[in-house]
Amino acid sequence: MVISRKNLLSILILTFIICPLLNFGQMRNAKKKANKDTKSWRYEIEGVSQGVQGTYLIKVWSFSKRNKVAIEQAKKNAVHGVIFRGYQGSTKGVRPQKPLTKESNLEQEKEMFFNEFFADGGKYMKFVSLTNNGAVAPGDRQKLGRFLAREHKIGIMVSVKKDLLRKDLEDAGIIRGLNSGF
Amino acid sequence: MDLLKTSKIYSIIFILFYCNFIIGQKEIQTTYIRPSIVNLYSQSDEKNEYGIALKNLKKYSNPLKRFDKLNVDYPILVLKNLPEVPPKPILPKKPIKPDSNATKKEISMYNKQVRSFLKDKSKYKSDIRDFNIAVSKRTKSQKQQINKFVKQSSRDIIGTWFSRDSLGNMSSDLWNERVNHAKTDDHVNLAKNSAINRTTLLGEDLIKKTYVIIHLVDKIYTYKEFYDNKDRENQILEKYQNKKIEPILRIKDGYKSDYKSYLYKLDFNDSLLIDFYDRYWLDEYIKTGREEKIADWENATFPINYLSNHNFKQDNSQLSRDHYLKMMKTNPAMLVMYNKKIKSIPPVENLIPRIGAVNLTSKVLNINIKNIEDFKLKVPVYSAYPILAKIGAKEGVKKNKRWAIYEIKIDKSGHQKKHKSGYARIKEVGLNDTIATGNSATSIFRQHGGKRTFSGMLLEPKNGGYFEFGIGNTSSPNDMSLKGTTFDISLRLFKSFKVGYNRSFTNFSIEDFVGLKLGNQIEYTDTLDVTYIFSDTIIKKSSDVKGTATSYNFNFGKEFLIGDRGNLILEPRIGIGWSKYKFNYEDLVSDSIKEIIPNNEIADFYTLKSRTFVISLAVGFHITPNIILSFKPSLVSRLNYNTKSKNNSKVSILDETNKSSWGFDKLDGSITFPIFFGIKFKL
Repeated sequence: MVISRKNLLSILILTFIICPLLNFGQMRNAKKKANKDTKSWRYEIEGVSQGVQGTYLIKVWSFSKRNKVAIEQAKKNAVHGVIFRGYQGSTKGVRPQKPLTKESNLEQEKEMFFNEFFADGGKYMKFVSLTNNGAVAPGDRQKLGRFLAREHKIGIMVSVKKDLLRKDLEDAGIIRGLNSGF
Repeated sequence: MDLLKTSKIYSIIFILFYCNFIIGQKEIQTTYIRPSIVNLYSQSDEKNEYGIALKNLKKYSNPLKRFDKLNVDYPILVLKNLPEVPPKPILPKKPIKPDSNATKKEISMYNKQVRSFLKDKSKYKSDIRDFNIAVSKRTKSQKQQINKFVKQSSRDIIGTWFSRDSLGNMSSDLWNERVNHAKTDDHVNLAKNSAINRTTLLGEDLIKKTYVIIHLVDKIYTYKEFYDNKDRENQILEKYQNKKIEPILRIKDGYKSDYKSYLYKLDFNDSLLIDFYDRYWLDEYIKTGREEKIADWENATFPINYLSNHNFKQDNSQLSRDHYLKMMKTNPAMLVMYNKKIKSIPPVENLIPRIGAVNLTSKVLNINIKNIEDFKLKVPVYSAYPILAKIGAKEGVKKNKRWAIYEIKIDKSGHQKKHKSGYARIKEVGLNDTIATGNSATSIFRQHGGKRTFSGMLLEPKNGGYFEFGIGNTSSPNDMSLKGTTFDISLRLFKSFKVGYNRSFTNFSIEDFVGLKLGNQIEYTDTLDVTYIFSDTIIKKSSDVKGTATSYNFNFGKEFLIGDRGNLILEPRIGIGWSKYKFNYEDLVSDSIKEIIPNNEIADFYTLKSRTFVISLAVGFHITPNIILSFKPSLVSRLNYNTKSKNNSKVSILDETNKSSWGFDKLDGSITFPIFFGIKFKL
């Protein structure tokens, strides 16, 4: 097959136009997908080490290709996990932790509160910080699936101020205090 | 053996080989924890030279920058009762069979030699068996003694890790010091948010990566001994060749030395650590049960695994007096200089202090750097773009070196598998040679093709990418002599400069060619000094011609990478070369010419060659990290052509206005714009 110079030039021009457009589209899709995952609270949580006084040191596995998106989602997921899920212990000497609430319907009952609480830039940010400036630790970026079902599972290490979080939720009347049952 | 002949075995080997690539590992090691290297020393003889060699080995054996040296105060080992190895038996060459004119005496002599040779052969067979047994016994004995010694040393190695003193008290001082040196920003940042003492955890990891290298000074001998042995071997070898054997020339004086280095790994694990604390740990606050623990410690050993052994040689020599005397004979003009050289030869004993002055530790580590996972540098991408990674001078990384970028994939069974997504080269080495604070310096990498890089991807050194090989086609509608199949090779120099060689060639076949003519009559003088003059100046007209057109150039350029990923490459190049037409002359010249002038000289007449200057701009796009799609428009300036004839008979095209598009109208100088399109491979 002979490619004429004119055709070749057209191919090159098309390549240079289409590539950036595809890239831009990909970025938008990544954010959209991550938001969807966060809404359905699709994440995994594990204890890393015993945190300093009043904190949990945890790793949150979120699903996104892009770091910035994963970091933002990880912060939300971490706070959500501490409130509603707790986490299992590990062989590295990390003890399991129960969630701050045992009420399974709390999220639906207080939907308004939690929508605001977990909104972008919402109050949840007060209780969570990144331990390593958001850098992903070695081995904590993993590619899953094949072809169209491909996605990235990214582990971000965060520190959650669980005592402050508990107090804030108690003050807001969302959860009951530790002594309220007595 | 029959199995080897069937195709099944090859299928099995292929499947096993393929599976090696497709099956992942449970968990890929993604962090580099500085291994600690302990050097131990031994000698196989107590002679003075051996002691000096050992002293030098101690002085010079230092690990590479990415390793830490753990100094363990442990005595040297002198190997005892090593079996003596006899001189290597040599089988003489077969006696030379006399020719048909040989006398009876010569034939009888030959038969006698054959009988003697057969006896020698049978003796050689048993001698070489004994020799091999002796060598293997000696090697086995060396290894056994060394294994025992290293196993015993394991206690002192652990003792050193815990700074054990003469009273048996231990402390974590050295441990802490080592952890401080080895910790990374990840460790520091994690420790800031953790209530657990992270030092202990990292310290345990450091102990688990303790490697022991024991160097053995095996044999030291003089050059005289070496040459004497060569003479002995030659004497035996040439025994039946009926010629006098001269001693070989003693070119050098000095010493030759053989060394062996054995590599071991301390097999320390969590349960051993717990056991260690229970049974052996003592400090000044422990007042009870001290004697028991001290007694236990005296008999303690820890598991240590043998990994590999390596042989090294060293040459400490100088040119000898005999060498200069020989040079005087072969080159008498330099007599004075050689005399001076002879007078200034230092005593051979002066070489003794340099025996063993060699860094065997770094040699052993370099050999194993690709085989042992713990020795391979690896670091996660801290952020992108620019690609930053927390690695640098502390690990001894070098500027411009190539690293591979990997992402970790999880397969269906949950196994991890490394997948190469691109390459990067170090643009700036981070000066991190201090204790990590959480904000240590990072090295900056420039990506050289591949997929987008994200924080958390893995970087590992992957040397290469210096050589590129391209193949494609060059199109040149206005001058088809520059078109054709093209090979393009280039070699990377320093950071981004490249030197290359480019060659295009094509065959041409032109019907009713306008013809070739000679500028002058051909004058040819043959080897007998007879001169022939051919009257015809027109060689052929309006005929079909065939031949090859070749164009080649040597070029120099610089690579510019465009975009974060460096997938787009611009490479301006400048080069100098030649372009030539080579006509098939068989159908063009008359028989009278063919009879007189040798073929190669006729071929020279019909080769039209021009010097070319080439400027090009290669535009490349990485399809994969190793494959580049390349497009290269060029400007080729062709100077006036020449032929390679000895006399004045220059061949030219009869009609220069010929429009055959083969560029004959451009033979007196022209500019053409060929375009290359092809594929390049980075090797």
